[in-house]
Amino acid sequence: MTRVSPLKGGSTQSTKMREKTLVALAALCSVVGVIVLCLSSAAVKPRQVELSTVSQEAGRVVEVYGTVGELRFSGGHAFVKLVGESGDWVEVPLFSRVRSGVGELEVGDRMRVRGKAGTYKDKPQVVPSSASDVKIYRTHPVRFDQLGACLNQYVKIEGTVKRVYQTASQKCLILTLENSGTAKVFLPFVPRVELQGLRVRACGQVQEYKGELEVAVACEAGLRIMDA
Amino acid sequence: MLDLLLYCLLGIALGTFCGLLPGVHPNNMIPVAVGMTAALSLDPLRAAMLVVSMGISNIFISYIPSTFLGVPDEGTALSVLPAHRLVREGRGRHVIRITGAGCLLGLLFGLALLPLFLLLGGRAYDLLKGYVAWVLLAIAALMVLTERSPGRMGWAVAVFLLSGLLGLVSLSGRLSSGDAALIPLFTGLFGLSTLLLGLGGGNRLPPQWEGEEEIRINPKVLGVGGSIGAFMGMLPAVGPAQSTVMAQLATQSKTTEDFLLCVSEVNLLKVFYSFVLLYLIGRARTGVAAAVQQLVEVNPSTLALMVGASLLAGGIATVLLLWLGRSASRFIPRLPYRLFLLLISCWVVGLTLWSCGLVGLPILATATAIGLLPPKVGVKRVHCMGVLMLPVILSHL
Repeated sequence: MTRVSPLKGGSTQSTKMREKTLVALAALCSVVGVIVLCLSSAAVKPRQVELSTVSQEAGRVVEVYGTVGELRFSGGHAFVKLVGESGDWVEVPLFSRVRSGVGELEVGDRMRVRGKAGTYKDKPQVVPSSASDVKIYRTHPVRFDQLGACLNQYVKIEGTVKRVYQTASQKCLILTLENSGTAKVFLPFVPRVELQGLRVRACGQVQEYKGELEVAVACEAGLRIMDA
Repeated sequence: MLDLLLYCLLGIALGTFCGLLPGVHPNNMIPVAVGMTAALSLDPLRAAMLVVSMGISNIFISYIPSTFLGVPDEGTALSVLPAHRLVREGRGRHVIRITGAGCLLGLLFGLALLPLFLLLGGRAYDLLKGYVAWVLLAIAALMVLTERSPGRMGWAVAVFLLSGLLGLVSLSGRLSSGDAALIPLFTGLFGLSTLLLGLGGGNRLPPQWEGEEEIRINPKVLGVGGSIGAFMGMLPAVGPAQSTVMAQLATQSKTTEDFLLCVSEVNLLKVFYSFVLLYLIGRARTGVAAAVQQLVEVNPSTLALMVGASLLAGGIATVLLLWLGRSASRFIPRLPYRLFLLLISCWVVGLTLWSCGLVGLPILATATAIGLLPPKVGVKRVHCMGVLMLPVILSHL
C-alpha cells in the first residue's frame, strides 16, 4: 500500500524512496563497511616505541626492536629478555602456540615484536599474539679479534673449549675458547656435561673483567654445544 | 579482523541501548565504556572501534525517543517539534523512515564528499579559525533574521541571550564538572519543556499508521545540507541545529519532510566528520571524537578503520531504527501517554541528579523555563542554541 505524503508545502524536486530500498541501501552500506574494515585493518601498523617506554603504553599494541639478551624455556613456552641499545629491556613471552611458529632463536639475535604492551610482576612486557608478530633477524658469530669493538653488545662466538676453570664459589665456570685466537666466556652456571674439548657457541654480552674481555653468558640457552 | 568486527557489533548494541534511553547521550556512557576497556586492558584500537560504532548507531536510534517522547539531545533538538507534530497525526513511523533515510544518506554523502573534504578541509579551517567568534555571531544574527517580525526578532535575541547566559554560568565549571551540565541544559531547553507542553495534549497518542508512506528525498536539500553540515562541523559550538537552519535558508525549502531529512543528515555528519576533523585539524568537535582521540593516534589507516566502522554501524543501525521504530509506534500509543510523560520527566530529573547532583536541578528548571519561551512567543527553538554559542563567541573574542 502506498500513500503519497501530504506533508506541508510538498517538495517538487524530490525522489521517492520506499522502506525496502532503504533497507537494501543499509545492507549495502554495512557490506562496504566490512570491506573497508578488512582492507584497512591490514594497513594499520602499531606504533614503534622505545623499550624504556613500554610500561607507559600499557594496553596498547606496540612494536619494539631489540636484541635477545636472555632466553628461558618453561613448559613449552619461551621467555625472551629483549634488550635495547641503552640497556633498557622488556620481557617477551612466546607462548607455545606462538613459539612453535617462530623457529629457532638464540641469544644475540635481533628481534622485532608486535604485541600488547603491559607489565607482569612490575616488569615491562610485550605479548605477541601470533608468530607473524615476531620477526627474527639472525646474527652470525663474530671473530675473536672483533670483540674489542663489541664492548657491552650481545654477540655470538664459536670455538673449541680449551680450558675450563671453576670459580671459587663453584657455581660459575670460565671457559677459554680457541678459534684462530682465544677468548674467555663466563658462565653463571655449571653445565651438566663435560665441556672440555667440545665445540660450542657462546651467546652473551661482551664485558671487561680485570682488564680482559670476556663474553658473559646470562642463561643456559646462551651456550650451545655444536658437536653431536 | 574478526575481533574488530565483534567490537563494532558490541558498540552498535551499546549505542542502541543508550539511544533508546530518553535523554541519555553517548557522551555520558562513553567515559564508562572507555574506562572499562582500560580496566580490562583491551587494545585501544579495538576500544576506539567500539566507541565509533556506539556514537554512530546512537545517532540513528536516538530519533525513537525524540520522535515518540519528545526527549531530544543536542543533535535531535530541532527535530522534536516537527516530528512530534507528525506523531500526533499518527505518522510516527514515517518520521522514523525519514530520519533513518536522512542519517544513512548523510553517511553515504559524507563518504562521497570525503576526498574533497580531506583536500580542502584543512585549508578551510586555517581560514576560519581566526574568525570563529565573528562567524558564530553572523550565524546567530542570521538565525534571528529568519524570524518574520521585529517583535519576534526581539524575542529571538532575548531567548539567545538568556540561553547563552545560562550556558556561561552552567558550563564555567564552577557549578558542575566538565560537560556534565549539558544534560540538564539540553534536557531543559529542548526536552522537559516539550514534555510539559505535551502534558497539555491528549492522554494517549493516536494509533500510528501502519502502512508505508514513500520517503521523499530532495537531492538539493541533501547535497546543500550535507555540505554545510560537513564544513560547519569545524566550528566549535555549531551543531546540527544551526547547520540545518542555514541549509534551509540556502535551499529555500520549507517542507517538514525536507527539514527532518536535513536535520538528521546534518546530525549524523557532525559525528562522522568529527573523526575526519581529528585527522585534519587534530581537534575533537564531539564527545565521541574526544574519546577516540584519547585512545588512538588518528592517521590515514585508523581513519579508514573509523570510516569502515561508521558504515557498518550506520547500515545496521538503519535496520534497527526501522524495526525498533515500528515496535515503538505500536507500543507507545497503548500507554497512558500523560502518565508516561510524567514518568519520563521523572527519569530526566533523575538523570540530571545522577550527572550533576543537586546543582543540576536549578539548571534544569531555568533551562526548562527558557525552553518554554519559543513555542509560547512564536519563535524558533534554534535560538536556544545560544547556550553553547554565546560562551564560545565570548571565549574567542
